[in-house]
Amino acid sequence: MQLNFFKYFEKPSRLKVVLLVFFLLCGVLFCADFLIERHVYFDVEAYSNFYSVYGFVMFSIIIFGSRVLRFFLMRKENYYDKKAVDSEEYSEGDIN
Amino acid sequence: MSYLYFFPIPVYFFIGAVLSIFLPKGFIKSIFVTLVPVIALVAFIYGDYTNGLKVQFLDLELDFMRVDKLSTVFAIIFCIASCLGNIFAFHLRDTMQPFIALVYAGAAIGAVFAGDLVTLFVYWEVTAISSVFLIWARGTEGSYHAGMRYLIIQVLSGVVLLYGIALFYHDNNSIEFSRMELGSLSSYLIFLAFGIKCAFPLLHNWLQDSYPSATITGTVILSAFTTKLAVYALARGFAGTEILIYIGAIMTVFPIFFAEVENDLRKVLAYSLNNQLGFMVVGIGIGTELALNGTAAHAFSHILYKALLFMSVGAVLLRTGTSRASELGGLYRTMPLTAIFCLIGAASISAFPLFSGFISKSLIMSGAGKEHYQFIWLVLVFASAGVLSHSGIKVPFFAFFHHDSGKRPREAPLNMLIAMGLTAFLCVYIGINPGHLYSLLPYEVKYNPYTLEHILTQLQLLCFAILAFYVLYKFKQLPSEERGVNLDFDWTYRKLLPSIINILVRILSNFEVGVLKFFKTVISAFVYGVYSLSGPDSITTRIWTSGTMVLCIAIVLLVVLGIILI
Repeated sequence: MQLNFFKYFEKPSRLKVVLLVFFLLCGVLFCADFLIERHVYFDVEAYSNFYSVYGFVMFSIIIFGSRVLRFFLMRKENYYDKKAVDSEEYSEGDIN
Repeated sequence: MSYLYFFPIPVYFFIGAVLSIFLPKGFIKSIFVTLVPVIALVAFIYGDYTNGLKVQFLDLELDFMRVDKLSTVFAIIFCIASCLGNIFAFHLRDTMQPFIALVYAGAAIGAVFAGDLVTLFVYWEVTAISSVFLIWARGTEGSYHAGMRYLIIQVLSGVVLLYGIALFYHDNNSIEFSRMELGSLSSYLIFLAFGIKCAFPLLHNWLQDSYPSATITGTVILSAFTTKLAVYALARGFAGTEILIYIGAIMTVFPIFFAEVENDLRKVLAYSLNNQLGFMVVGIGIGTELALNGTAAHAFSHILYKALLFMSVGAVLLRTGTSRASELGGLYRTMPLTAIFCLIGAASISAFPLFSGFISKSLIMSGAGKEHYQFIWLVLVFASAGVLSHSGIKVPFFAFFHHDSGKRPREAPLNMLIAMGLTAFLCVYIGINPGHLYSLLPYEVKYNPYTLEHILTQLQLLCFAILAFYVLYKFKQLPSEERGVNLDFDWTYRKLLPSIINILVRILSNFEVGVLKFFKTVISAFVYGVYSLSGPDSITTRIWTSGTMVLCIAIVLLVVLGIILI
């Protein structure tokens, strides 16, 4: 039986602890911005918590942007060809 | 042993490739193939190539071994990547793929060391022609066609390069491969040839089309060489060319959106590769010592973490038979080691502190900052969040976590685990000890990535992007995983062009049919007319009998006779 690091976190209560730690980390990073003096290349970078806000907003833009993109560009798997590689099942044989 | 040093480094690979054919398939062959890059690397490190390896050929001076810091860093990482790729492919019981893997790696290293354009061209073509076999090795109809498209585009790049070189020789009477200015037709052609291989926007689709079509091990090997060779060639030939900054910036942005909606995880990684190339191209365009160092460092660490990601998805593909996000999920239960290695690759590409991407990408970002490219800098920070979204989160999350797909595959085979383990180790090692990589770079590095503010800002960017992911995930706003293809620019030559040709053919064939029909009608009308006038039942036949004709002739003869006599 293999030792599985991830199984430890399968319990919802433990997963919640992980999430809590993550939120705490975000909070600490947010507050740390006021404490640490930053040397900036550009004025825009100097705004307090520029990176936090930019990261959050840009990630959201990427997700919503990609959904718009998919709306226009998504086709069936065999759109190009019935036997195109996109719709192929893969088998390279199983090995030990 | 010193006579060995006279070999150009690629020759070790080519000899190794030929010898590998004669070795029996199995353990010995795999060991041999894995050792060839190691031997080549040792020979290179202990060899003396300070004067190059120049050969006079016709009027041209060819240089097979131009060794300087720029070519050295690329050659070293190519040797490492070849070795790791061959360990990953250790289980193969095949003659062709190990042979091709060595030829391909050797050609890429040869091109890096080429001191002149003719040698560069020869190796450029060898990389194209050898690598396509890694796609065809999959052996399906789809991969055959994908390989054909790949080959056409790669050879096109070679032809454009050759044309450029011929014009370059005509203009300058030299074939030395060094820094050039964009201006003459020859320089534009060479630039275009490099651009095709570097997957510039609109020239990029060969990458996303072919890499996911190759074999599991083939993709890992393919991901390392061709595009980074193009990056090297651009860094050598066009450093400081401003247009590259803008080309690179576009390259970092648009693949993010495609990667986010793509279902095939190997295709996601191919788009992500495209995005990472963008960072390198921006570095080349800025062209300062700091930025060029950044490009070389980023190419080095990129080859490792990208190979690691392709390896982990490859292992999943091997064990489950699919790399589609829609059919995967929850694999951490039975493939925990692969999951850990994938997460290390994801952390490296997302540039978390202590991982390799952090210490290499920041060189390019600082390069952009120092030269006051504010907009470009903002784009690069945006692209960094994008990298996190598809390679950092999407690939590991949808393969190993997310909902349970019900699949319980075995852990990856031992050789794959070793290859992934070594690659992951290098990613972390470089991240923790950046000095070793920095000492290999073309210029002296006076940069410390581990300042408190740099760590803080990078963590802010990444953690708040992850927070955004968590919020969007909770509110079910992420694009769902569905089977399908997303149209990209390859639609123009896979769909539009064939349909235009189809329409033209139809018009032409209709025209031909029309013309034939026209003549047929005219001729048959003529024949019918003649027939109806003089056919068996025609009016002339009925009225004008043979006797009448004889009478007419007799009259005509009499008239003629009369005229003569008078």
